[in-house]
Amino acid sequence: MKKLFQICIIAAIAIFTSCDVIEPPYTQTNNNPVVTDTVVRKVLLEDYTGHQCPNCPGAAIIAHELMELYPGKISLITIHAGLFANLASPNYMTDFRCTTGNDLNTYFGVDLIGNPNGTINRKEYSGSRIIGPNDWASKIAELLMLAPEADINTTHTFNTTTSTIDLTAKVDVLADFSNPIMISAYLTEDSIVDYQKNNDPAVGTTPEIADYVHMHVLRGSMNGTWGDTLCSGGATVGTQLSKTLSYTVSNASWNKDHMNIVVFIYDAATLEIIQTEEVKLK
Amino acid sequence: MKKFFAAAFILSSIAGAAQNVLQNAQIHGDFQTDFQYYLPDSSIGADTVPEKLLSNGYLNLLFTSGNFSAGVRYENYNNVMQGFDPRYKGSGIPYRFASYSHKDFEITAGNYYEQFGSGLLLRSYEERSLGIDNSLDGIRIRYKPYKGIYLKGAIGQQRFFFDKGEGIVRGLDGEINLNEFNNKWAASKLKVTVGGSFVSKYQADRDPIYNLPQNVGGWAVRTTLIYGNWMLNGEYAHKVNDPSTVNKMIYKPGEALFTSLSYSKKGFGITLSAKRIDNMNFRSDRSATGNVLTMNYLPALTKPHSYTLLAFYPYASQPNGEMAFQGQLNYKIKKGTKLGGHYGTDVAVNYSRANAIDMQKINDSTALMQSGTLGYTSDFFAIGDELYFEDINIEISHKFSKKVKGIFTWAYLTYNSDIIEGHTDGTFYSHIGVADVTYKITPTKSLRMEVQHLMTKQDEKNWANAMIEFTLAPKWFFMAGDSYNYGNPADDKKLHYYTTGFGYTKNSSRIAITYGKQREGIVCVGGVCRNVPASYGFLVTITSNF
Repeated sequence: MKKLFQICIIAAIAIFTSCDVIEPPYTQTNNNPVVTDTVVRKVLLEDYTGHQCPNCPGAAIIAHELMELYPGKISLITIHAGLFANLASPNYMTDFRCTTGNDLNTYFGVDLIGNPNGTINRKEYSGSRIIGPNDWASKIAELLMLAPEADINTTHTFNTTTSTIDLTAKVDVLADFSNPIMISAYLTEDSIVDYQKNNDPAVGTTPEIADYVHMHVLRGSMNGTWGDTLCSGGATVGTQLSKTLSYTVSNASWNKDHMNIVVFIYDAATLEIIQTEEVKLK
Repeated sequence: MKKFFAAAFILSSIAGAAQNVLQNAQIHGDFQTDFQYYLPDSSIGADTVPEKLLSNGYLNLLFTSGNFSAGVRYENYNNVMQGFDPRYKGSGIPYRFASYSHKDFEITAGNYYEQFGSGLLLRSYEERSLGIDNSLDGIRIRYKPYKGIYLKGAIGQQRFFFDKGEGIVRGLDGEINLNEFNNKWAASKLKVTVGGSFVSKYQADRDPIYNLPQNVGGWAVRTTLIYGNWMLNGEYAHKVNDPSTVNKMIYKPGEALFTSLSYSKKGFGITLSAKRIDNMNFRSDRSATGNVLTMNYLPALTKPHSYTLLAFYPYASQPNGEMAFQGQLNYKIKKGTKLGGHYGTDVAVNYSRANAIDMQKINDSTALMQSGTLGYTSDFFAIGDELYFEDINIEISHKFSKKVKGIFTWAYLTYNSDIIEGHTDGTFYSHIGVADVTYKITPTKSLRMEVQHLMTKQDEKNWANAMIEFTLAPKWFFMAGDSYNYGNPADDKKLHYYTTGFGYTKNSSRIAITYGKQREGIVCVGGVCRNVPASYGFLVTITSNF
């Protein structure tokens, strides 16, 4: 009996003392070394949001902190889809939704889980691709520690008269792939000033921010939601692949000076994104 | 030759043991399947469901033999029904365990459900209707070293759909029931139980922005005192810094206090409860939201309503902070009096209220709840100004005759949707009245009618509801009902949400089929919302026990 109590007390002390009490500062200093490698792994963060989602501005801040922490290594796409992206009079009548965003939202079931949420390279973790904003940093940090498996180099022209984009993506394969590889090119637009609901005074005015600057808004895809086949039978190290795409930006209201092209390749079987590259449209 | 005899002896022993086990063995189980055929209806916002038919199914099997028990649960979601988390998609056996008990000792390996005290630090449980299953997968030991002393130890990882969460949960709990120590104390009018628990979780820190605690622990103490008709319950829990998505990554320690005092005698009962929650979201994964990977349970101090319109604006405990109070009075007016009538009248008055906790900035340059800081300071006894929820209701149950009885309820609800749903729609104030009358036609036939009305100047304005139910005991029931949003200012939103259905029970199996429309709603927990979409179609539920 006495021995049992001793064991219990020791176990209790062991559990209770196994607490990490963190002292300030609670945040880390950015000690990331300046990247000198010519080819680096880049990560695609897709942030599912909506202008009526009051918790979403906080997630956008996390995304931008990460982009500052890893300059040039994260491509961000903000996908307005689902319930919180619906239109509502009078302040929420700008439609940020697009077919590609709606398709992705439906396929990955993000709206049914809740916003804000995101995918990191569309990679599956514990059976789910949907990752909460406060887990983006650790997941991205893990991925960025891995060696790049491909290098994407793009060249493109934009005809301002016809609004036609002609893009060529050349891909150097740096690892072996047994599954087909797909390539997608999405269009995003920055600096759209409009209303956004917000319930966090630490982020901005509540209950809404009238002049919220919407960044990285997904406008559509140059080659459909799921892209085109880059190579149909897998690829080995050293393979060079290429894809040419042509697309006309038909929506005149989009500000072409603020638009970007996000090109990424992914494994057709796992849907996991291998590499991404982002360039300004103009 | 010796080896042969030895092997034969061992085999015969095993066979004999197995035979003994099987001779005493029992297998029990239960089965449930729900499937819904969805029809699109643009008027209520019910979208087309590509699969048309969605289904959730569950089969529990429990094997017991003497001191040994084992069980499994098979689950099937092809595909997940609307309103449930789509990450359940698929099928498998997410729950299996084996357990052995001997005298005062019990060990369980595999999945198990456990609760320490009132659950302020640890409660793993299944609530299928909400899509909650946070069972632990690991080892649990229960031991009673002496009369009245109960010890529990648990370690494991929590269920995450068909996988496991990243964090590891460890816990110890002890409870002493003083009245079990000896016969003299057992006879005492004063019953005393005290308990305490420690729970901690481990999750690796790979975050490049925050310095995160990998081991987060908490402790709790509790007591139950019973003296005659009086009972006092109380539990206090404290948790070290635990920055998470739900608390917006602040480092303030958390605490919770739950206390309840009740008195009851024949025909009269009163309960007063109070609760303080301060930053007590506790999950085995700091990034989890919604109903996923929750380790603790923070009971809501409000009356759970079951009538449709009374349940329109339900309250959920706010893990980031709340001060809540509840009082419940039950009184039976004696039969033979003017108000009691021939059979007596039961009156239940309930009042509950939840406010914010007091929150002050930690300094002038740091916003409240700013990520990467302590977040705020709070006076333990101060009540915040913002009202989250208030419910005053009275329920009168009266039997008019041998054949007619009724339950009449009125409630006034104040519902802060900004806090509870995470929206920006403001606070809704509503009066709700319900009349529920049952007419017993014969001993096996009864007719029950409900008439409900909700009056509010906010949200979707006024609603009316009526329902009629015919029961042919013990096998059949039929029902039809309608909720009508007649007060909606937009003509195209003055919608009917009708439902009709029937059920049939045979032995321990039951089938129920309903057809109708369900309104769209939002469920929000911890700042992340889940949409419960509008739906229209047939719902079939089959349950069976064996």
